[in-house]
Amino acid sequence: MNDIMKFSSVSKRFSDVQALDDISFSIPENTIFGLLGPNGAGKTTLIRIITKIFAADSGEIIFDGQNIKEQHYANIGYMPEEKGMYKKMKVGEHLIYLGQLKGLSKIKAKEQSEFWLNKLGASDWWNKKLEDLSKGMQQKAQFIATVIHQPKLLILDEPFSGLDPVNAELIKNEIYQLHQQGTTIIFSTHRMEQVEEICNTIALINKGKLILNGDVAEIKQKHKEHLYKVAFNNLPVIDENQLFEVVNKSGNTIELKLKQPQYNNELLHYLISKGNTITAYYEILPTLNNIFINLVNKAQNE
Amino acid sequence: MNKTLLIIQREYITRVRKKSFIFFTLLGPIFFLLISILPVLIASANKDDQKILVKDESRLFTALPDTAGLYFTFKYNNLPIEQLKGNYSTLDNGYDALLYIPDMKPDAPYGIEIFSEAQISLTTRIYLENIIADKLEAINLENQNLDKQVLLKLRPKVKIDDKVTSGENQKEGDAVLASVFGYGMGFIIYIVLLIYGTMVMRGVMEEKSSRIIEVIISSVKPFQLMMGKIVGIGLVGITQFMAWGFLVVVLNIIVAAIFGTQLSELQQSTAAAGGEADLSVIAQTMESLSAHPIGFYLLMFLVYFIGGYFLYAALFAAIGSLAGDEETDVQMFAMPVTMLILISIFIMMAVVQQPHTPLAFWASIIPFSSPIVMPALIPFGVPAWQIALSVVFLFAGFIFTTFLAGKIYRTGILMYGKKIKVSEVFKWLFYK
Repeated sequence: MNDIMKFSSVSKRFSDVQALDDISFSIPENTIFGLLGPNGAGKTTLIRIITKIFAADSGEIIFDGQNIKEQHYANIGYMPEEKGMYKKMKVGEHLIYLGQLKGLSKIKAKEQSEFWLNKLGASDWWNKKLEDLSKGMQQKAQFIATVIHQPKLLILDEPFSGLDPVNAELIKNEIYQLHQQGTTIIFSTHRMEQVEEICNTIALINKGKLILNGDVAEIKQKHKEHLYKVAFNNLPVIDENQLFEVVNKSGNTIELKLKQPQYNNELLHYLISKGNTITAYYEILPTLNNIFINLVNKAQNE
Repeated sequence: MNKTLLIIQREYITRVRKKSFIFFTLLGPIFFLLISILPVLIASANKDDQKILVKDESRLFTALPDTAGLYFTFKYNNLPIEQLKGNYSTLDNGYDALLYIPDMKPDAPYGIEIFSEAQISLTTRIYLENIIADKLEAINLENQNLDKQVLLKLRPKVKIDDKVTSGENQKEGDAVLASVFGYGMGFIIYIVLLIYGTMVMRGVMEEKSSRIIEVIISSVKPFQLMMGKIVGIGLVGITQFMAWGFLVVVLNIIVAAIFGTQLSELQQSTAAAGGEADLSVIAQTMESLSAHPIGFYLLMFLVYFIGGYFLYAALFAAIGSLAGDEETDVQMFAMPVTMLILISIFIMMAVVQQPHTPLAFWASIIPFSSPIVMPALIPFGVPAWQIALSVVFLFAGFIFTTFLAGKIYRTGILMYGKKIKVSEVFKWLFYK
């Protein structure tokens, strides 16, 4: 798989803050890529460098095999966290204007606006002023403005903040569809459960430094702590032993941690030999949230 | 389509379409019209006829000329003044005032009184004093065997014609007319700078506070956005001025058609009241008007209008970009710029009185004051090289402020939350 975007040693300093410190990673084409980090980690700065709002102090960014340039604006769609619009404008003309700024012809922009409004069940908004729309509706309009020029790369900064579950689901489905059509999506957030649900690949930034990068499943494997959950059909009988320790116990289920990863079969033998009947047995992989918190804490302690 | 053009188009159309714009564009000339015809209307509406009973014990007057709203009646001269004072308001159909002229000599007119229930106006009193004085003058001249013409010859009217010698051409000078042109042009540019400069600032603040800015500048360069806004609003200003000019002309034609006769009558009666109309003054004004190259003034006006607007609009855009969520910050940042404009207008007022001082020279060269001062100076005659120098400085100045503003704007528009310090702003000028 090709990389649609590649950062090499990108650094950016604001007078007293090192916003980005030697960041290098790649974003494979046609992935949903999670850009994670606590507030103030440097996510927005990185995005602003991609969108050419800021220039990096050093390092380079390759987009689609070339150094990123202004011509690439037309291939990038960016929805900032703070959803802004010209409130006095009508939805239709607002969309056409933003489409034209992205390089669409007026006709094409109009066509696309109508298509998307229809798709999101908002075809009657055309002549409504943006200030008369509800916040959720405004956000839908914002989403349309971001995808209207069919960008290759879509950057969404906290796209679900402020959306009700129904609309969040709607936008999520649109994101999946765009992904299936070949769009690469950078999804910037600090909400881990969303990342886990949506993203294939992630980069985790803290205080301007890259601390984690890669495929979500691989990362989970790498950071697993050999925790298992076992369910029994009666209260389990367990003694002190060399294989594992019990982390948590509630009713007929226990959570245990293997002292050595290869003790899997021994564990089962042991449990059965004690006369227990096992109804379920599975490995608990760490949530990204846990990995994130652990790594951030570790970074802070260093 | 070019993106800057797109931005200009949006800035222009959304503003021109606004109700407030249409309102002010239509109402501006009506205000202007009201101001110009209001005095006339008020005067004619106020023409409350006053009947004045005159008791003349000196017997010097047989009649007094009636005028706009004043009618004199000589009657009841045999009744004692004490009685008349009590009942003048009920005699006949009632008089508004009683003018009492005691027995007096024409060269010692003391003790004249007027009685009224409502205070008489100053103009009425002055009018009465004038007509009585005129009559007494005539009597006195006759008593001394003097001819009025002789008296007039003794004090001939003096008028100095001023001519300006600039280079080879001698041109007719008229300090009054030059001042009128100067003030007018300087003042309009002052208003333009304030109104449309502030409009640019507000536009930038709006984009910043509504957070649309980030979406836009992921599509265009901040500089394009800033220039698009400045040019768009500049065009709004030009549109508004052209509309005003057009409407004023149309309205004047309409007013002239409706009130034409009334107006000229009124003007004639005022002229008559003020003594003989000095036709030669009007003729001379017309003559020196034709000596002023109006077309050249308009061209220079346009040059300084555009140059000055760009120079200040860029500064206002930069200030708008520094706005936090509180208005007060902006006012603090805007003050130095507003002060520059205010100082310029004060300098302009001073140099119109004294057009050939070093202050006038420097203020017409320095680009921060030249847009207001130079158009005001030009009618007084400014050497070509000075105009050229001033224009070069103005355009260099506007390129400089635009460059500076672009740097501040670029960083400022994305600064949210914390308060911006002036020292930081200087650092932004050197950001990559």
